[in-house]
Formats: sequence, C-alpha cells, structure tokens
Amino acid sequence: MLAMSPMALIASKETASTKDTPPDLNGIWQAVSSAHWNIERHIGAHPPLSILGALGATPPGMGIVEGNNIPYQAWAETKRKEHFKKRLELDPTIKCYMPGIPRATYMPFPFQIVQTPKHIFVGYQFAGASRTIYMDRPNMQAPVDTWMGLSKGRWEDGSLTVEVINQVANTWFDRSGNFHSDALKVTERFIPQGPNHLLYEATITDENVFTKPWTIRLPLYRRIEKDFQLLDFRCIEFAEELMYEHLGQDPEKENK
Amino acid sequence: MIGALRSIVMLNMVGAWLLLTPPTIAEDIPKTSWGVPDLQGVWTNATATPLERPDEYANTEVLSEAQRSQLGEAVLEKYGKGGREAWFDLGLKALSNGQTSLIIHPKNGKIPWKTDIKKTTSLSGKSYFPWETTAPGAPFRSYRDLDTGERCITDGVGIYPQHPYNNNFQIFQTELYIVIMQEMYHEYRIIPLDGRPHLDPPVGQWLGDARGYWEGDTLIIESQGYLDTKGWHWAVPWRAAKSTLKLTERLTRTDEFTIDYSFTMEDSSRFSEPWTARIPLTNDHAERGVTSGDLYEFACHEGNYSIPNMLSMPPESHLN
Repeated sequence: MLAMSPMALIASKETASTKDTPPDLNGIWQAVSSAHWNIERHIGAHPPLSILGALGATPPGMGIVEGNNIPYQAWAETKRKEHFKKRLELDPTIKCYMPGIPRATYMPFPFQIVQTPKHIFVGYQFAGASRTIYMDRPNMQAPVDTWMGLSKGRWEDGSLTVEVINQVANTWFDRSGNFHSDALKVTERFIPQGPNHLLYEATITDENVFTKPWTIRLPLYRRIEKDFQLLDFRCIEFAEELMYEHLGQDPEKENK
Repeated sequence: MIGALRSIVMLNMVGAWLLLTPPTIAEDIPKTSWGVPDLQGVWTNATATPLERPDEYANTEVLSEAQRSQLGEAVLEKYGKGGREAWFDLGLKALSNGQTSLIIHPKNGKIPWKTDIKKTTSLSGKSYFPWETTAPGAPFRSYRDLDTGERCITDGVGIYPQHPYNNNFQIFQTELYIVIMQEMYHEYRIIPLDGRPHLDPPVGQWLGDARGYWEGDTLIIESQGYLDTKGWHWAVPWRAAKSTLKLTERLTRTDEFTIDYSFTMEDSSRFSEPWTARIPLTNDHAERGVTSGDLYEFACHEGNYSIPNMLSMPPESHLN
C-alpha cells in the first residue's frame, strides 16, 4: 500500500466542488514520477543503448501500483518479460504512437484540461494526442476501438470519475513492457487535493491479461508558471528516421 | 430543408457587396453563461465551392442555384468515383450564400502570389492521387520527399476544407480558452483568451502561436510564431507554415446553425497583399451533403502504410 491515501486529503476551495458546482479541473497538469519508465517499483538500471550513458539510464522509482505487483496471468508475465527485452523495438511510443490511457497521464509531458459542463477536453503534449470526456452521454458507444479510447465521465463525491473503454490493444503502460489487451477497462478518478494538486487513481480491469483488477495512484501537479502553455511535440518527425530511413532510394545517401 | 430555407433568405439579402460586409447576426444566437456567443459544437466546412474563383466565373460574384449545383456535380465527378465514394465524405454542395470562391479578397478570387514565389511552388511529378496530375516532392526516394500530410503531421494552417473526408471540427469553450479540435490528424489548438502576449521570442509551432479575443460578437484569433518549414513539402503550398506568416481568423456565430468563419493570410514573403477567405461553418451537415455525428480519432501516423507502400515502388513510377 502506498503512503498516499485519498482519505487523508482535503480539497482546497480553488478546485473543490460545492453542493451545486463540480470541482474546477481546468489547467495544465503534469506527473512528476519515473512511472513512465516502469509503473512497478524499480531500481536504477543501465540504458538500453550504451551510447546514451547515464542520460539514458532508467531512474529508480517508487512505483505507482497499489501493492506494487501487477497481477499478471502466467502467460502474460512471460510476455511482459519478452516485451522488456525487445522494448526498443516494441514500445509503441518510440514510434510516436498515441500512448493511450492511463499512460498519457504520466508521460513526462504536460497535459491541459479544458472543462465545460458537457465535455472535458484533455490535450496531451506527447504526440499531440487528446481525448474528449463525455459528461452527459452515459450510454454512448464507440463504433470502433481507438488509441485513446472512449471516455465517459461523471462527478462523484467531489471528484471526476471516468470510464475508459474501447482502447486498442497496441498501447503499453510504460517503457518496461507492461501491457493489456483490447478488453481493457480503465476507471479513473481525478481527486482534487488543493489548488495545485490532483490525486490520480486508475483501476485497471482486463480479464484476458490479469487475474484481478489493480490500481495505480499518483499525484498530478499544476504547471504554475505564468502564461504556461502546451507546445508542439507532434513527435512524428522525430520518429520517421527510425521508421522509414531504410525505405526508398535516396540518391544523396547513396552518393555519400 | 433547413438549408434550403436559409439559402432563400441569404440570396434575398446577398449582393456582391454583402460578401465583404460583416455578417448579419440573428437575435437569438446561443450564448454562454458568461454572455459571449457560444461557438461550441461539431462543425463542418465541407463545401463544393472552390478556394479560387474558376475562370468561367471571372465576372460573377454570386452564383445561381444552377451554378452551385454544377459545382457539386464537378466535385462528384472528380472525387466520387472509382470506389472512392465508399470512404470519402465529400462536400457536394456549394455555399448557399452563392460565393463564387472561398477567397473574397482580392476581388478576383485568386491567391495573390508574388510572381517569383508562384514559380517555386509549382509542382512536379506524378501525384499519388489519381485525380491529381502533380505532387510535391516526386519522385519519392525517401520519406522526406513526401508532403507533411502523407507523413501524418499536418496539412497546414487555417480551418480549411482540403480533404475529401474528415472536414469536421469540434469547438470547446470556456471564459479563458477556446479549443478548436480538428478531426484530420487529430490536431487541436488550445487558444488563450486571457490577453496574454504572444511568445517572445517565439517557439516555432506547426499551427502558430495563437491568441484570441472578443471584438463585439466576433472571436478574433491571431496567430504568428509559425515553424519555418523550408525544405518540407506541402500538399497545398499556401497552407505551409512560415515564420513570416501572420494569420487572423474571425468566428461569428450568426444563427443556430452557422459560424461565419474567415481567415486572412498576411505574408509579404509569398503574397503581394493580404488575402481573405470566407468559409462558413455549419452544424447542419446535411446542408453540405456530408455525414453528421461525433468526431472520431484519426490515427493517421499509427496506421500509415502509405509511406512503406509508396517507397517500395521504383521512384520512376511516381513520375509522368
């Protein structure tokens, strides 16, 4: 059990709800964590490419998984280890693919919440990904699975609860190969803790991969710098050489 | 039906001069709880009206209903055959206000390219689209020869109906921000309305550094600080991001169904004068002949098979 408990937290007036109004989650938020490397507790480790030296080494992390261990089915644990060995090849975010939920939340990039009564728009700096949380359409269905899924939200006990379904199986939870299937269901809670903090919880349910539901939990911090704004990190242009350089016939290259 | 009624009203009102005058605003337009026009909703700008005025309409500023129908038929003929109609969502209806071109300034309805610039933006090579004859960058020897759209990055600036599909936009609005979410390439802009200055020095952005403010009932968005993309190929050259560009967009909710949208391109490095296009957005998708509904994720890069496929072909096959 992690030390952070939502029961001990008190929402401030700036983000807190009242009887008649939901909390105000508008703002630019970011996780401060090494969870994007590995959501389980982990020690510092060598870089996957020695050329990167200490800059590419994995920083240690306390982990964000309640109880620390992800309850994989046996075959899935084996697959996760295979993913880890081939992570440079297989991690979808290396190719700048959209990270999915919950990974988008704790990527080392800011994201912005724009909250209206009917929709909560969330724009993520990484890959220019985004999602719309529908607040008034509990019966909405997705015609197809998508990388960022279908998000349906509701206000509950002064917090935002979001059910995320219809995500493709292609996304991972982190850079260490933790994964899911297309049966993934994520139940998120954004819990105001004060003017500049949210507690983020997400319960992961996927009976194809895990033996039981499990929960991650971490704080999110407001980017309080004056006039802070998201900047482009479309990142496709940074992944193209990796993905496409071996294709085609570039005469300039051939002549070198 | 609704569109037809509005057409009649517009045609009664419209004259050549009115295309350049401020839009008429209905008294009962939706307003936000804080009192400004409500721009929220899912909008389309799909249309059969061309950006530039066709030569045959050189002396015409307002089209008749029959002429508008001809424009729709031309789009269908050009894009809507050969199986493509199954996945295209074509704007088959010309703007009901009868604009001869989306460009309303200069008066001839043409992009005022500087002569020398126009030469350098002429295209060469065979297009990968069967309905076009040329493409930038061909022959394709590397992914770098493909345009930014084929690379799933962006097709450039402005709310512009370039594509034969995905011409859909959703707007979210608070007192401090407006979000313009575009279905194509899942591009979004989160535009501050709080009076803050542009980034100085700028950080080059694909869609610029945007700031918005209300002028009466019109939201004005001014963008500058674009990424300089010299050496990149663009499917539509005028939409290329350039650090010299200043873009001014105007959004006015004129009735329950319509946002009167226009943009002005100002870039003395490419254009001999600023030019303006007017492209009303509608939430009545049937009025433009396209499908309605929610925006869905367009995971272009994640499913980009066209780059490997095109680069697997001999470069010579890309040329005429």
